[in-house]
Amino acid sequence: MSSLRAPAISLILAAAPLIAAGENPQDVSISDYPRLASLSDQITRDLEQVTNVATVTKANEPYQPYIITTLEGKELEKLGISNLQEALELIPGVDFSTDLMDVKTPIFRGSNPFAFGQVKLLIDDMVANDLLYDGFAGYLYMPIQIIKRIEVIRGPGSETNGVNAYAGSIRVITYAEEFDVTGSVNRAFALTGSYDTVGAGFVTSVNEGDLHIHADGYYLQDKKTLHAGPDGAATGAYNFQTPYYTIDNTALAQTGDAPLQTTTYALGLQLDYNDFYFKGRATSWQHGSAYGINGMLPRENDHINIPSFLAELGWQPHAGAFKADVRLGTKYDAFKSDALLLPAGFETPSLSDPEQTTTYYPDGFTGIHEADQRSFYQSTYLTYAGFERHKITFGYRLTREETYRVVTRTTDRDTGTGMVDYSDTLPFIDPNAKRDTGMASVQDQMEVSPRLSLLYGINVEKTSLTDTQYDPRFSIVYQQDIRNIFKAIYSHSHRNPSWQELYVINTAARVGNTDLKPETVDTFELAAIRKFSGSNYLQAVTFYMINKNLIDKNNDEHIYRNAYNNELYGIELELCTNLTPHDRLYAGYSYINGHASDGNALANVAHHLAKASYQYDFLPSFSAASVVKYVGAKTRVSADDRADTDAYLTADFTLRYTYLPKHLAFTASVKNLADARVTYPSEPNTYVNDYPQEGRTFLLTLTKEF
Amino acid sequence: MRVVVLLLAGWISLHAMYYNPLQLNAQTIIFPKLLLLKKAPKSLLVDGRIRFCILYDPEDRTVARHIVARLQRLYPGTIEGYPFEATMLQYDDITEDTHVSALLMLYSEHGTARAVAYAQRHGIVTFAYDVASLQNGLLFALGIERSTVIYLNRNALSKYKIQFSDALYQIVRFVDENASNSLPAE
Repeated sequence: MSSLRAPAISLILAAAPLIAAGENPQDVSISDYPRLASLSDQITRDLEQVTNVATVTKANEPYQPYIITTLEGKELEKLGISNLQEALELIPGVDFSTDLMDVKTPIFRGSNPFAFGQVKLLIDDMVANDLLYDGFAGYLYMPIQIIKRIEVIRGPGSETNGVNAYAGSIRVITYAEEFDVTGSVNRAFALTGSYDTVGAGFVTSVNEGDLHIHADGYYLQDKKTLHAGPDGAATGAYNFQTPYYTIDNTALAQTGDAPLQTTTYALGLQLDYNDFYFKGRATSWQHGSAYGINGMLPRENDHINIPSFLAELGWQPHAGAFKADVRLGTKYDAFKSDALLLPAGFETPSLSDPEQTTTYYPDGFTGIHEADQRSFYQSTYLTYAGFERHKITFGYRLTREETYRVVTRTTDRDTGTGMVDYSDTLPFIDPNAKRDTGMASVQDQMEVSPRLSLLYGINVEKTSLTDTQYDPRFSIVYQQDIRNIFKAIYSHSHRNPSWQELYVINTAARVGNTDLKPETVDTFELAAIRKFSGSNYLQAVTFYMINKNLIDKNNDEHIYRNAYNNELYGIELELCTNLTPHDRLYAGYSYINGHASDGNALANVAHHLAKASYQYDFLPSFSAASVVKYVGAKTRVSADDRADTDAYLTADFTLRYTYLPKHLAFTASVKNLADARVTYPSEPNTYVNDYPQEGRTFLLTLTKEF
Repeated sequence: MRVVVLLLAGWISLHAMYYNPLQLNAQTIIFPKLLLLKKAPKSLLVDGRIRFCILYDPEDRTVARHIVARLQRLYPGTIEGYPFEATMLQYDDITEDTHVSALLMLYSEHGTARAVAYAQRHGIVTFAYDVASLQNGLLFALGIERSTVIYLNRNALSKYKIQFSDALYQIVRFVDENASNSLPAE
């Protein structure tokens, strides 16, 4: 293509020879040249604007220098997808795991299913992972009605803006992205379903001159319980023996309904004024204590709270070929638990003389644990596009993360009755936990030719706890022709240990370790994309990951350790197409395998994952959709002699009717139609059986656009 | 800014073939302007105005209505000083008496070939929703790739007997309709 940057004057000059060459002067008169030049410039600017929007919204995803899948919120609504977790389950290579408190996390490509934080979640470009887990369980409940788009990037090669993705990153974009009267989305929704689920929410935007105000909010509540057990007491993990006594708590093992009720509400706000913006998001997530912090079935109303508050000020000016992105932000998150941790009649070694005496808890052992964390960050990134064919971005990000409040109140660990405040003497998290991080990044996106583009860059990071980390990345995108695109990507990245892995102390169920090194990964990816007509495509990806210093606590002491290295490899296939003029099929399959340095098989990893969604429009106002998911069997860790977890297949079915004159949509969904038995692996020496998940459930949703 | 907002404007209710809203919105902004790079643009006038027509099959009626509404918002009555009108027509309703300046052709299983033949006979500029439709002899398409590209079907151009100003050739990529897999010539 000729240069799109050709200035208007060049068009005038270019047109002049036409007359000399004998073109019909009546076709192009001299007076036409300014008009043609102006029009041509307008079109050129329009093309650049479209490119900018397409890049921001990932509408040109096949050409992006990483492996990306983009899901549109309104399309997901038609499929009956109700929240962020269900949307992520559609992505090839993505599975989920959970822990004793039912704090779920997505697992990308089978990479360390025992860790949180390998995947970063960004809500409207703000990192939402909490500090304690480095997870984002509360955000998985985010209703799809407030999500405009989800961009899922597999592999670490996506972020060069001060955020280290490891196995992947998830970008959730709300309707705040649309900013003007013509582009605003205003909607309200309400839902109800199984487990006494109720919820409601809204999205609204207001524009006053240059000021754009966006707000969204939601409230969701359910009373879910699931039958689980026998709990950890049955495994003998809480039997104790010294020369002076023998304790056998096995008989106290319980089986019953695990409290999994959830109440979550959130409010998001965004203000845009010229080059400035403010973003804020507050989310409260209260969840039943699930299977118990210590692996003992808790009481009906025991719960945890993981609130999250994000706020960011930004300034994004343009000047010539320069573009700046300056941010100042803060994040607050907390962990709060109020639960019965050991049942009535339990006996443990005493606190003051564990070798010789025991403590008997006639009413059980209750714990109130709270830890408040905060983070501050400032980043400045400059992009310069003044060199022909190059777009160079460089900058830094500075972060401080710290714990500023810890509460540890439990039943007296010597007398076994009454509550004692151990916040100063035996806090469950190091109250002085702190980490400072500085990261510098540079990246060049180079258009070698219309067929070939390169992206190369490096993140250099130093924290107050670890050595300097160097994370280079390199990618090639080659467009062979209109239909065929190829990508080759190499990236190195690391994951800093979470607070839980570093700083949890004075507990038996999990023991932090400040000597932990970051996990590191070298990832090699090859992708081939075959584009069909329109937005239809087939993408095939093969990947190879070399993971080092992987962290888990699968040892008798439950200490977080850099336990092993592994190598993972696999393929991912992704198809998006129409079968008829009235339908839409999206299907994905992934195969994952590998081996660990200790010679063990990959634990808690499904080698085969297959997902498909199909939507058929019978009428403009009426559609039906189905989502089918297959998750293969998972082997156990080497010290766990239980049989593999069973594979499962679930199918969801959704009907949707829209009363077009009023923009009112009614959606009815049945999830897990065949009531298949779905389980997530329980950790060794906790629950004898795996963690059950929902059977057949129903959901009704009403959405009104204004 | 206005362009960005317009590009981001909400999703259409899609009930038939899948239409990418960004693609559609970009086309409504760019295609009418592209039309005016025709030599002697006054020859585009039909009944004194530029009549930009959306061709559709019945299941795409909603999409066509949406495009017409957007065109009317973007170019309310005029474009670059020329009277402008956005209309819509079913593929089956094209006759030799149909008088339009340009056709934006949505997906059609059976109607495309007849519409293209009609457009070529009458020298009417055709725009494709989908780059792949250039294989059917349409003239222009928009590709949202690493950058956004206007494709011009080199082989088809002569069949339309239309001449464009040189300004057009500086901003388009040529594509050969006979080699559907080829990367367009620079």
